[in-house]
Amino acid sequence: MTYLIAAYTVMWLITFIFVLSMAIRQRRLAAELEALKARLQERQRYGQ
Amino acid sequence: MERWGVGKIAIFLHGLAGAAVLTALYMALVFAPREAAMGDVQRIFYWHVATAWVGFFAFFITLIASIAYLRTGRRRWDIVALSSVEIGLAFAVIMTVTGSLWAKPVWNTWWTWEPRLTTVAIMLLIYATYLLLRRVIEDPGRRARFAAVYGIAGFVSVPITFMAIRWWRTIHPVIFKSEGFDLSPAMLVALIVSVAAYSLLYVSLLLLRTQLEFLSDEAAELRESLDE
Amino acid sequence: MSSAWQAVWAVVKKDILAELRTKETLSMMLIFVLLAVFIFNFAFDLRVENVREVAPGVMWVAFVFAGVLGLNRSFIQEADKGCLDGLLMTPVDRSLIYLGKMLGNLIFMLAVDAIALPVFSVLLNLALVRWDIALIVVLGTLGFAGVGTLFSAMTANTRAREVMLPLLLFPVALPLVLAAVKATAGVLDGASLGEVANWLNLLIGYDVVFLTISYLTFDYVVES
Repeated sequence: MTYLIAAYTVMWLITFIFVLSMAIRQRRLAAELEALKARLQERQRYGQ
Repeated sequence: MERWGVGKIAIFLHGLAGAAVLTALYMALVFAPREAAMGDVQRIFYWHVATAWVGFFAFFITLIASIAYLRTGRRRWDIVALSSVEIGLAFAVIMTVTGSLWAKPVWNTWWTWEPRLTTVAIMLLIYATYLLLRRVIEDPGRRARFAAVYGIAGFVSVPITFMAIRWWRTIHPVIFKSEGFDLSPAMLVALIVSVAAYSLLYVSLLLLRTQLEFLSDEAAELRESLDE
Repeated sequence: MSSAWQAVWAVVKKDILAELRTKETLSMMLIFVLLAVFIFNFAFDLRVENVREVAPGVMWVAFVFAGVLGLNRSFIQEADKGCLDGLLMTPVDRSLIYLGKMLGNLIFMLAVDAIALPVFSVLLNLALVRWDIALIVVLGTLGFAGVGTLFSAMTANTRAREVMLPLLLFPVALPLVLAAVKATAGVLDGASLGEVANWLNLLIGYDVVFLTISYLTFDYVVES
């Protein structure tokens, strides 16, 4: 029984960590994209 | 830029995958009958087999995407190959750990160097190296090409792993033989639901992971255009 | 002789001539092979009772590591001296260049194996110079050189290239080495080649599959 619980815990943990790491990367990228777009717009507004 | 993983159909798919995984959990823990000889530990089996199959399938998708990349040179195939390796590796690790946790009470050891476990260990190493290889090549085109070649060459380990329990005498159980299944009907239903659920989860994760890579490409492009 | 084989032979001859001029790679591989056996001797205490059990493993690990040394030099030398670009600019099918480089590596490895086997026989006090072992060595080395040549062309263009080659190659080549060790152990224990046929089949299957994959994908590896 303990092994069953351990196995299911590990399973969910790995799936969770994988999804979480994707979510974090996604959030970081989205933030970076926003910042980059803002800079690009700024540059376009003031001309090169 | 492609937008996979965020459309209406994709969101529906993510929801469906979540629901399927919860259903499979119920099937494995409650619906499936208690196995007479092994007891409740046997319930690990449904997820072990499901992650194993979907993991193998993920590496197969990598093979297909790698060949497609070499043929067409399109970045999206490279992204699919990479994403599929990451997901497949996560599933394969789950398979290995759950297998080990099942082996401890049943075989009385965490690990033994028998054919199936040995070939699985080799397969894990190969796909971990695949990810490492991508990190040591700077040029994107070359990285994609080398990774594709390694994705093709490395795939040979997958059928060997799959066939290991059929070719050699081993203590690892073989559930699917040419004569039929070694399971009671209710167990078979639980297994099919688990495999289906994990397949859906794979598709959903693949959509999200590829989406992430497209985003990172977009960011890289913007960065470059800013630097000019 | 058709022109395709002439091209392959030209690459092989080039590598052999370059090697004969300095004999660097061959002597490095040879010394390494012997060194490996010495190290195993100290590590495992290879006495007469257990030597038969560990000899196949010792032998193949030594061959494989020495093979990686040779493979590493095969493309890095070419890349560093700019010869690779010249080689690729010749109006010859890239797959033929692969075959030439592969045959060159195979010849070097087999030469080292051929010198090492009698020395092993003396040091380990085992009769290793036999035609059935020679067949297993050729089959094992063929697959190893086949996939090794492909990967060494790859790693010559990566960071940390000397380290990357064994990392890429060993997991992929493991089934091959395993089959070779098992087959060698089998014939050393007195089995006939027919009795280790399943391992020989695995060796042959592996050789065919990996030579085909390498032959087909080499073009993408050297493309710039």
